[in-house]
Amino acid sequence: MVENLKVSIKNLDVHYGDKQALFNVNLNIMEKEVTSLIGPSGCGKSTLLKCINRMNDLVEICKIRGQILLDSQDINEASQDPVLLRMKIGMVFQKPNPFPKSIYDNVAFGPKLHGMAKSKEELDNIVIQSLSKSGLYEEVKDRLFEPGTGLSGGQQQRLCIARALAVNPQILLMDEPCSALDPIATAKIEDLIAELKQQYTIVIVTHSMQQAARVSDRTAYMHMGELVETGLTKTIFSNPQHEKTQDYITGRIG
Amino acid sequence: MTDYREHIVKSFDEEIANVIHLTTQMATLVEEQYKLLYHVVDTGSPSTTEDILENEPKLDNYDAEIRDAVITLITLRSPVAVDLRDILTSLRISTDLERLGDYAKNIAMRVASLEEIPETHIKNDILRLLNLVQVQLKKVIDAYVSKDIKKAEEVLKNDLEIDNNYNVIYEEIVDVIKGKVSKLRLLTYTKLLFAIKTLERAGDHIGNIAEEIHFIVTGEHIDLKPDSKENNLEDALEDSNK
Repeated sequence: MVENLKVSIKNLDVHYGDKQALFNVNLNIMEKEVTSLIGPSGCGKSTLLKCINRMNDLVEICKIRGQILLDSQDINEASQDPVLLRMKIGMVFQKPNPFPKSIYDNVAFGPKLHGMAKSKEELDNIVIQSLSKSGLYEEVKDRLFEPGTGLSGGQQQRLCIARALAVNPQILLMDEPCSALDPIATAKIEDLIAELKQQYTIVIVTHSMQQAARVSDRTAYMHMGELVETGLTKTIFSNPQHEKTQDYITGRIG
Repeated sequence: MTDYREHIVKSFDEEIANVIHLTTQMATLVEEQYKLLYHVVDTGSPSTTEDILENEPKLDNYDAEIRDAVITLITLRSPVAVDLRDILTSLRISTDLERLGDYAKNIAMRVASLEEIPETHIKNDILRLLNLVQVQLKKVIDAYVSKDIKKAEEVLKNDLEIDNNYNVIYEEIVDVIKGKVSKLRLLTYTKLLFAIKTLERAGDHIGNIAEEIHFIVTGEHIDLKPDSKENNLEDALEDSNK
């Protein structure tokens, strides 16, 4: 048994109709660490990410074989409720996607849905704490009831992170969370990731090699649906063992 | 013996090739300096010493050029893995080469008076030591150009021979000094002691370059403790080759 193991992906095959997207992927994700998934477009990073919170359930032609164990429990078992699973596993997307509601309601949405707050005070607390955790509270505390869509791109992304944190998840999945942001907003999110990993397990898909090197503890390199190499980020970027990994991270034709 | 594919950005390849080319050229010039030095030690030719002195600033220029090229590359390309090792290593190798060049100059200026000493065996032994350094230098440059890790390991092993030869000559000179020597001769012998010590140090810098080559290819540092080179080398190589 691996220590601190949070998610264990075993022999995972994913098909979209006739097309196989993942081939026998095996990956361990450690608790309270940042794991980054890197690889060229179409290599299966996002597919893998979406398997972790069963987002692929929504894709009818998607067939999944293999196991994904969250705290040793198979998430694809019939007894598992995908809605409760997604409560444990929050997700942040490439483009910030706040609801067309107020900043407050964006964050309060999940807790309300899951009946997490018994009173207005409790809900207020959840909203304030979540916004504080995502580093946004100080910037928006005087306009909590203005639309979330009125915020800047970087602020919207942190609002989405606050929304994900509001339902008290254990894992945060981030699918290229900074690719639509400027360097300053990106730096803030990266700083936030470093802080959040004290409490949460984070899996991030990124096209920025530098970002993966900066924010993650472990890196997995994927190529054409296969997991080529996984290891400590420091090792992957200084001395990768696989030629394909080396070709990709050094900017050679892969 | 690594052979990597081209980068998607072609100018990146050219920039790395340029750094390696400059480092190789600098190494070749250092090799030339030791060839000239051999001639100086053998014949005492003052004009050859002049040649060595004239070449010296060129080495400094290479060193500066390599440094600037490496800084630009890191700034513009954020190299990682083997690319980073390649160019960071150039920076370190050029420092060793610059030092080796300094040594050649220093020795040339010290040993011009070798002709004056009557002990031909000492002169021959110094020439043999110098030849060993030249052979090692040539081998390490070959190893660098072809990224030949086996050759680099040979260089590290052979450094012991330089050390042993140094010890022998040291004893020979000390024996002479212990006997009756004029004050003027004493000065010559002292200079020779410095010269052979410098050649021994030159061997160490060549060894450093060999270690750097090992790092470029494997990404692992060979860790050697200077005092127990002999025992440690086999273990260190074995460890790093795992």
